[in-house]
Amino acid sequence: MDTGMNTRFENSMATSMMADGGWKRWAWETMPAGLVIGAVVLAIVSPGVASGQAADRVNLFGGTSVSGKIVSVSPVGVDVENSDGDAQKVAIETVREVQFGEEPQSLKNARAMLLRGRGADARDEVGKIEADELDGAEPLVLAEVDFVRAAAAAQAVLEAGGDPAAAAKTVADYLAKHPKSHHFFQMQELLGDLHARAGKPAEALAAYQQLDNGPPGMKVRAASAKAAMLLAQGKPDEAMAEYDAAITLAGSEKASQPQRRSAELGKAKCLSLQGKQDAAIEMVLQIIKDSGPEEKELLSRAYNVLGGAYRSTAGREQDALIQFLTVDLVYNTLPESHAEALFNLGELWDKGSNPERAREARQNLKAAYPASPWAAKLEASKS
Amino acid sequence: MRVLVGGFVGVLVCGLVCGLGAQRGTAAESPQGSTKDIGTARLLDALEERQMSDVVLWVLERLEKDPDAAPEFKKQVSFRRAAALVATNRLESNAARRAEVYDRAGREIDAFLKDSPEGERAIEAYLQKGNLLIERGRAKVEESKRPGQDAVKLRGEALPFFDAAIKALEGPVRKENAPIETVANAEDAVLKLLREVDASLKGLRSDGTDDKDDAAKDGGKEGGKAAAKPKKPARKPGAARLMGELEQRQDELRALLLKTRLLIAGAYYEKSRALEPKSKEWEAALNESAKQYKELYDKYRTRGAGLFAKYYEGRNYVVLGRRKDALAALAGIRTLEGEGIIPSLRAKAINASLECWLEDKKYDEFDERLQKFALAPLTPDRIDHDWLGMKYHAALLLERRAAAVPDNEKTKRAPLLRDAQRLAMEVAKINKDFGSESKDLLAELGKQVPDDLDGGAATFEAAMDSARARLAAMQSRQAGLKQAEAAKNEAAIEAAKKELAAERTQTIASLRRAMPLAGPDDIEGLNQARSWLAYVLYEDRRLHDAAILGDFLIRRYPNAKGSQQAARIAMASWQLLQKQSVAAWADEAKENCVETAEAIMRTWPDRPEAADAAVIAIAAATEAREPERIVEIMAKVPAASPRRPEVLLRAGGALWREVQEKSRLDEAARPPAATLAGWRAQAAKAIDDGLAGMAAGGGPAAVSVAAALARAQMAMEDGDNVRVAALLEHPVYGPWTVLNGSDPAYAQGPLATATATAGLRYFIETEQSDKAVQAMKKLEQLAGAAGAEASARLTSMYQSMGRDLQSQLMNLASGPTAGTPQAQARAAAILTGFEKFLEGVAKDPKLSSQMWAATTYLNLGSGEGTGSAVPKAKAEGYLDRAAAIYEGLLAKGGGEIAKFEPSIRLKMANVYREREKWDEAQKHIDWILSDKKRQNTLDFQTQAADLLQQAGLKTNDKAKQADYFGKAISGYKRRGDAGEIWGWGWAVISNRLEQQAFAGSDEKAMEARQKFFQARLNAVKCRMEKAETLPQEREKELQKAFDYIEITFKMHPELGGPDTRKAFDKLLKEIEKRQNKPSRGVDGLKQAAEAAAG
Repeated sequence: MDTGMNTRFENSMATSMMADGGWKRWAWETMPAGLVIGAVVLAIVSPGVASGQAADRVNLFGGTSVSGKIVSVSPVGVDVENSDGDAQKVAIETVREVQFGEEPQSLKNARAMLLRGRGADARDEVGKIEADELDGAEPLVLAEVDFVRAAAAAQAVLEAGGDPAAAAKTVADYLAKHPKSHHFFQMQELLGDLHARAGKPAEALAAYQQLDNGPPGMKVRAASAKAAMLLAQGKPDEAMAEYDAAITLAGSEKASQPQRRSAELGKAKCLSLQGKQDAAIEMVLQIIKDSGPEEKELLSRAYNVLGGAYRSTAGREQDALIQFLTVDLVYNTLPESHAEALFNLGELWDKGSNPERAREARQNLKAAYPASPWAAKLEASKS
Repeated sequence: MRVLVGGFVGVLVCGLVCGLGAQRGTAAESPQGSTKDIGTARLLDALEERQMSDVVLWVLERLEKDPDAAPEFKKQVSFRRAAALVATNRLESNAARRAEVYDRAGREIDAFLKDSPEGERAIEAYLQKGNLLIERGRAKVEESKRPGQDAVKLRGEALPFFDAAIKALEGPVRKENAPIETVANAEDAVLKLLREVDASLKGLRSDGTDDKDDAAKDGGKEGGKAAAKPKKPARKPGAARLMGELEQRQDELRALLLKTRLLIAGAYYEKSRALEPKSKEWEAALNESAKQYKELYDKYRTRGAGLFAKYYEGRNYVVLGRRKDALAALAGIRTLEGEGIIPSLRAKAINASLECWLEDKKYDEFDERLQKFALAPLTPDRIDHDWLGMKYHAALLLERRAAAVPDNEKTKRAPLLRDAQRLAMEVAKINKDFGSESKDLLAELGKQVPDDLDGGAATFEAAMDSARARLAAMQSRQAGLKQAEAAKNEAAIEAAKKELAAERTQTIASLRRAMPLAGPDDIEGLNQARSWLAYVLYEDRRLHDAAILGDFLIRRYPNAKGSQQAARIAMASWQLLQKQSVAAWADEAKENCVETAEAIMRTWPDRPEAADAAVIAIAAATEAREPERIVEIMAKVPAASPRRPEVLLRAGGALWREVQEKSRLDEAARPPAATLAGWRAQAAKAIDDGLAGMAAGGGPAAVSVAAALARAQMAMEDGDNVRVAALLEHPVYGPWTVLNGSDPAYAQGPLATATATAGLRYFIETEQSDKAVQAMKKLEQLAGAAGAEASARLTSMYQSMGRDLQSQLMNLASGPTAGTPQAQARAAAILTGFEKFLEGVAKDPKLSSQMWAATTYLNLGSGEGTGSAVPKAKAEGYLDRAAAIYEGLLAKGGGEIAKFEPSIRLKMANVYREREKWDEAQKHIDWILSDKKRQNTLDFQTQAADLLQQAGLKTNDKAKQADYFGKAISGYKRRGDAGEIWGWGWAVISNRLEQQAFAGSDEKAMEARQKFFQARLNAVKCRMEKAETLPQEREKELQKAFDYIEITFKMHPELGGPDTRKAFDKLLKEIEKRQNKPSRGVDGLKQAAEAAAG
């Protein structure tokens, strides 16, 4: 099963593993098949939508979807009405994407780009929407345009640098304008990330705190987001406490396991930074064992953490290389993870007397992710 | 399908089978196991795709040890490892190592097949095994063609590879549809699987009408035609999808079967190339190959594969000399029309046909249509053996046809010759296969071939082809020179040398023309060109260029093909460059050589080159007096390196020398005792490991003997007499054994002297008097027959032994067991042994015996630091005994003693110095320095200055002290009975040494350098002491001492290396302290110099 989740917009549970100051991973954990959906989802093609009018669609984690007419949205869910007039509530933590039948193609494309972590491309794409395409559009579609614009601008800053304060203002404006949006929690988290990037931890924490008001999965996410920020600030001990809180919050509830694994990965990274490599390695190996083979984003981050732990263990450079190569060659769909792996490969191959491969890794990093913090780090290491 | 070995028929077959159905996907089927296993499988696929075989091996190693990995997945390890091993061989230039890796790969495949003899992966494994074996056989056959090789032997070695390949590929002859019980080859593995698919299909088809067809097609070699696909029968509901998949699989397996059979037919042909031409076996192999190709053609005549089979059938007939059959087989292919593989196939067929017509002199068979085809210009993608062969043979045939034209039709000759020239010129210009034959033909046709054939090459590939041909030509010239040298034909040698030099120049030019043409995708080729160029430059003795290019490859592209060779070239070049006359350049070459060696050790730690490099690095570290570096290098030598024992022995010996040297330094410069003990322990372990690892059976190697001696010296210090005996008298590498053996190389030189000295000491201590006397005699022999020099040498040997004895006693006095009753008892035993022996020796009136006894008494008595090991009273007794023997000798006088008088007086001066009888000591020194010739002997002057310095230190009278120190610094002159006496003092000594000390970096210069700095250090020490004896001059003298160090620093900022720099630093800080200045030491001088330089 390929759930194909690539960016934070694909799920609302993951958190960043990046500890370098906020170029956070936005990918959401892949939901194991059949785990999340439970009673909620079955692929339903709504027969109630008038002929010639495209149905709205709520795509869920796990690859299924709910079609019909979206009658209302809220921070905690989406209400969909089928042909029989029956309303179905879809919980927000199960939603991967909401598509509106009448939305412009560029909006659809831009959102898809966001889902794949291409903020700058999404920003350009949404800019292509002509005013007349929105004539008579429903308020939800207009709100969606606002969302993609704000989120794309923010994502672009997080990915490639820029003014986080300005992007935070854009996101805050969106939240003020659409306080009932189904994107509310994810935009709050994005706002937190921007504040964290701007070096405003108090504001970031306030934004993350908003997630505590959401469903249980959101609380886990809030704790993980705080932990990621602390990790980025170079406070692994404090970050670990937050990750532990996230793990406890997630408990053994099935629906929260992806978030739990994500938090565990964060904890493993903290352990590694604390010099407890053996414990970190053991933890990541267990996470990999518990994950599905197609949870590519989670796995890419897991192998990076594993690579980092091996790298800081004397005599395990080959093991570190293998992990980073696994990200580079197998689990390379998450840009920041891939960039991180390439950066590490460049350094490790240099140490391993393989300047050709080191050059290749660095060239790939510069070519594929020129604006990433890892590329910047590469440039900084040269000077 | 992964192709293990790229060459051979694999390439051809790949293109052919496509028409029969798609190959199975290349990616390994992911195991249905854990996420980790799936990730690992995907990683392995990706790594294999990218040819990162080294990493594949790392991953497989871990997979094998992973307790959580699925057993089924683990089964793939050996199979995948085989492929990776073969791929790593791409960079291996050493034939023996390559063969080793191939053997290992073969074993891995066999291990896999033992476990999984059937199934899809087994098919791959059989095919890989077959390919691998064929490649190995082919490599031997190719090697047999090189000049100077034992062709018959090499072809004989190739044969088993081909037989094994055929066995891995070909199934036994069996009756149609006979069951395949046991699968042990590729053909059976495919057939069995195919039959299973056929059976499944049969079960699925409702009427089974095609069953017979399937079975017949796949059943055996005699199977029916494979022409049309069977008609699709009516299918059971729901089975359509499965049937579709099975039919696709059926197609794939049929393609695989065809591929396997083409390989088998090819293997028989390759086998024939390893057999004696025209022999029964040779004919049998070729006929079998032709028969199998014919069967394949009969079965697949409408397919590309069938046509190729037909061509190869014909080609085999050509080789067999069955030209009629060959021409008949090739007739259809010669006239084929079409694109894709057809033109290449035609070129092959025409080339083979032309050979037949030339042989049969049937020149007219080459008709206009074929001629037109041959004359069409070659495009770059068609430059290969067959196309070039076709053109050359066509040219030759046209030339022969023209020659056969009767005179009355001679106008017909011109166009024929023009076409012949055109064809030959085209081949000559490409300068690859048939290049030289075409040039010869052009010469016959009166056509001048341009000398610079590759000058116009437009592409990198074409230019590299030319360069490759040049390189081959150069190697052929090298072989020619070797032959001439073997024949000792001076004229031929001269001519061959000239030809070789000219060819080298052209090769260099050719490579240099090619390199700028390389594009971004040609990096592999470009690095190959660089490696070749480095080699040719080295051969041309353009060593600097070769070294630079080699170094570039090591640092920038260490994993490129040829980089290891380039590394060896770089190191060899730097080594040769160290021998150049300009000292500064030689020094630079030495530094570069060490850098290159270190880069090699870093880059290829497991390669034999790394051990070679380690030897060089150790020599450099030894010269630089860096024991820590020696320890580092030892740690880096891989356990599996064949030269590891040698490196350990060299390193251990060097480390031991360092321990000895550094132990003798002043306390300020001497490393801490724990450090010295650590180095000593590492030296001992290295030598023990090295000696244990040296190959048994060979004769003694100098490095083993030297290391064994070093280890024996250590054991002597430890009082481990059992080990000393085992080492000194080891039957193979024992230093005492070889000193008394038949090899004259071990009977002279420093190693022999050191052995005799150590032996003497050991035999005395263990009261083996006969051997001790034998050792003494050896020393006398080694010193030489007679004369002053011999005497000096002998004295030096005695001193050396005395020093060792002192060292041993010092160790007992200050080592870990110091002060213990055991240590005291041992010291007493050593001294008793020596006394007893010395008194015995002293009874011998011979001068050498008397000298030896006196010198040894002197050494025992003057041992600084022997402390509790030699009680003061005993030490004084030894000195007095020494003085008595020397005085006795002088009193005796006579011609022989007169010759040694300076030496005896010097010794006496030493004795009196030790006894603090300064005037008596000075009397003897003055006698020595009253002679002009002796005045110029550095050792005498050093002794004189040292005596004065010691006198100054030990005297209480301030005025006398000032006088002693002043003379120790600046020397003195006075009239003596025998002439003017001139002692230089430390200042003059250092000035006299300076020129020699900095003239180069050879051993002599380094020794002079050490003495130079030591003299200057002593001058400073004396100046400081003098300052304290003269209060009114104190500041002035201290400033002079400061200035003296400052000027030394300005002249030689390195101050003689870390040890002496530390000593200068300490003195300077002390001076600054006494001057009430901040203690900045040498760093202060450095900063001041930098500030002055702006």
